[in-house]
Amino acid sequence: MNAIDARAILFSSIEGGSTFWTREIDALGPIEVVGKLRTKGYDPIRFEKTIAKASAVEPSHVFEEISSCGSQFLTPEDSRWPSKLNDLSAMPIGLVVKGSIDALYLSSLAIVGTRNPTNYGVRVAGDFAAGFVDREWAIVSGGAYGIDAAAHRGALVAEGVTIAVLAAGIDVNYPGGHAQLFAEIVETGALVSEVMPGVRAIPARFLTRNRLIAALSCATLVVEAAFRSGSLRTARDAAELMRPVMAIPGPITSPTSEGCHRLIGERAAEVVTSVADAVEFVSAYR
Amino acid sequence: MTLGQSLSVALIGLEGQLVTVEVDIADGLPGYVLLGLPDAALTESRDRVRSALVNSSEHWPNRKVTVSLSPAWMPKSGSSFDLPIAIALLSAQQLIPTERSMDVLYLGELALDGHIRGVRGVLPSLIAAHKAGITTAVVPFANRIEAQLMSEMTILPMEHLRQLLRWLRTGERDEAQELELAFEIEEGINDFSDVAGQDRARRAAEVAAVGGHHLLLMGPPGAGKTMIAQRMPGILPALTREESLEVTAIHSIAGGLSTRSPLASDAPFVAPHHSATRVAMVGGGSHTIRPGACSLAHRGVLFVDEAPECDSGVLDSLRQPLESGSITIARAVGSVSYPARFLLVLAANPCPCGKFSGRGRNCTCTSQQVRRYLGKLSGPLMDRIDLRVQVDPLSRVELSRPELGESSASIRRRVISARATAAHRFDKELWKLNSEIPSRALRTTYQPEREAMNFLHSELDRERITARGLHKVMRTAWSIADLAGHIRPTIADTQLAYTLREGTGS
Repeated sequence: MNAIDARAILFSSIEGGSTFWTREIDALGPIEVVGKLRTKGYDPIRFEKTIAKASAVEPSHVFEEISSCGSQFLTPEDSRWPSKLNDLSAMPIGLVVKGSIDALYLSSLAIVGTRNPTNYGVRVAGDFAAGFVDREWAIVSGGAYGIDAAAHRGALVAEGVTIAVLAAGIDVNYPGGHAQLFAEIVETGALVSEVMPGVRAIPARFLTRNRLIAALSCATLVVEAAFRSGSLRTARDAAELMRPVMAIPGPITSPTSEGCHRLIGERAAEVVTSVADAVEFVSAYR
Repeated sequence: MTLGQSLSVALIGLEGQLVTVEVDIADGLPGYVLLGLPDAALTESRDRVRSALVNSSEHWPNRKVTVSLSPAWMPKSGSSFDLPIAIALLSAQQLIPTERSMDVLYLGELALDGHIRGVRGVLPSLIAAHKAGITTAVVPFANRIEAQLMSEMTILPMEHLRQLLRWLRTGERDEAQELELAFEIEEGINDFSDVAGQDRARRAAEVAAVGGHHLLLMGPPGAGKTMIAQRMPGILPALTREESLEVTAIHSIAGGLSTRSPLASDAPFVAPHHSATRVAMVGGGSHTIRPGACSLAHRGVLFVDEAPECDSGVLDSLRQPLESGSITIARAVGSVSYPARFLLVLAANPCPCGKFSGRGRNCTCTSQQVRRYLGKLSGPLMDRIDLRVQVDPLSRVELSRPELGESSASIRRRVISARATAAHRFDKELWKLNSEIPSRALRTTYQPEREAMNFLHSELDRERITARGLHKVMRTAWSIADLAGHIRPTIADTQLAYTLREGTGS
């Protein structure tokens, strides 16, 4: 068993976003961790499910499953692994990537926001995506309805590269209405997922997915977010990674801009009002 | 002679057909046969007619009575045949002279004591009779106001069978007091001056009234969406006599469903509840096919509050009338078309709980609920809505502003003059309103100024607007230009039309 086989076993049996496992793998190496799991070297009650899975799974099956949906398994051992991800305290064990892996190296901007945007938000997200694409940035987002979709579409309209980080399996078209959008994204960009194909999206996976969006991009832009919003999580994740966070202000009467104003008020995000502003602000971090 | 005849009208939808009621009294076992596809209410007419005749001291023939309503193939319904059957029965017995009873149209239901009761559909029946060349009609006293609208005919409103028989026998008639036939203009009830602030929504309402554009008002509860919608008829031009006849005819068929005064010249305002069924919206029924809300709103305003709460399919059922201006309903008894050319006003909250405004912290809806709620409004129906306006909650300044807003009367004056401009421009065309300009004409004769077109094309290139949306914006721009007195929509008109469609910007 080599390190990649070991990572395949761990990838399919451990839920992403856990700092504990990242530390273990860092300290012992993936082969050791698999061995320790299979010999019940970890608390057998607390890790019951993980141990059962890790003991049963066959690496070849994992590779087969991933390649059968036209995607590749990427691990930190791979020379193509995007080093941006190494800043994460809960570094992913591996990633399933569909489309162009090279897209992951480009300087990229994450554009995130509410799933129920106003026309203003849709327009701004699209404009910023297109504006950054024109300056040869890639656009990273979550592939959800609303701002995410507007950002992806804006990048595609400007014939740029865009990356969707999905919370579900790479072959699960979630949300359902975006099958066509995902197909277009794959043509030049990439779909990225931290779970095995066929796995459904559950709320916890959206939060762990958000940290990947923040880590895969050089900077994060929040376009429209309500007071409680998952995109604020992405912004905090980006701030923890010491990556610049920007927010678009909106009317103070608009509830969908409440989250952006909160970030700005807490000095957690820089106010940007034009593409040029934003480019100038982030160029130092490129 | 033991044969008697009288005339009446059967309605299929708005279309009336002259019906000859024939009565034959023959020897044989006493009995009563009613021919000509009667429905339940009509079959019961035998007992009403008998009691009414006997209680009016008339003679009921204890012989074999055959009543035939022809044309026999046509299904007939309702109680309005009571009176013509009674007259034909009496004339078969030679109890009334035929010279006056012939060529007169009879409509009315009989009470057991001989009183004549009001019925539905008097006006469309009279219109049909007039077309068939009838000049005199006897109608129930209760329907006299509606009947007087048919001023080309001699209308004889009667309260009691005895009163009618006296006229038939002697030609004498109690002169009914002459009715004031002036159109009522209801004023001051729903006036735009009551609406505080909301300049944008008012502007959109005005533009909608000029061009007949459909309107979506989106905003939190209490912002004034319903108030604005209710005031829309007040700024639409008054109905002409032909339009008023048409509208009253539909409301007459709907009967008790409608409380509209027959003489009102205001555009009708119909606001079905969001729990309304598809049948309530477009019309239907098994015996008689009644008009639905969209036909009652013909030449007026159809307002659907809380539109996303409507059952799926109810709003979509409005697509045919929105497209063609009429609705065709097919049932076992036949297929009927009612006119339905209305201005659609939809209102929606920002989310199911209605609290997603301002800072939005009290809103309890999940993102998916909001998506599903607003998703009901998307698709083909929204394609037909030209104006989408955000109605914000009133600000303190707007609330405390002492002066009243502009009154409906002065807005209406502007609307009328803008409509006249449009009508003059479309003199040689097949359409009258800006919302009806076909796409082909928009590409050729009716293009806005070049600068405005450049703006629209750049929006199209950036995929901010679809080709269909482009045409919608151009139509709205024409209405705005008509209001502003521009010969052709300018860039400012077009940009305003664009923001009114998108629901954003200022």
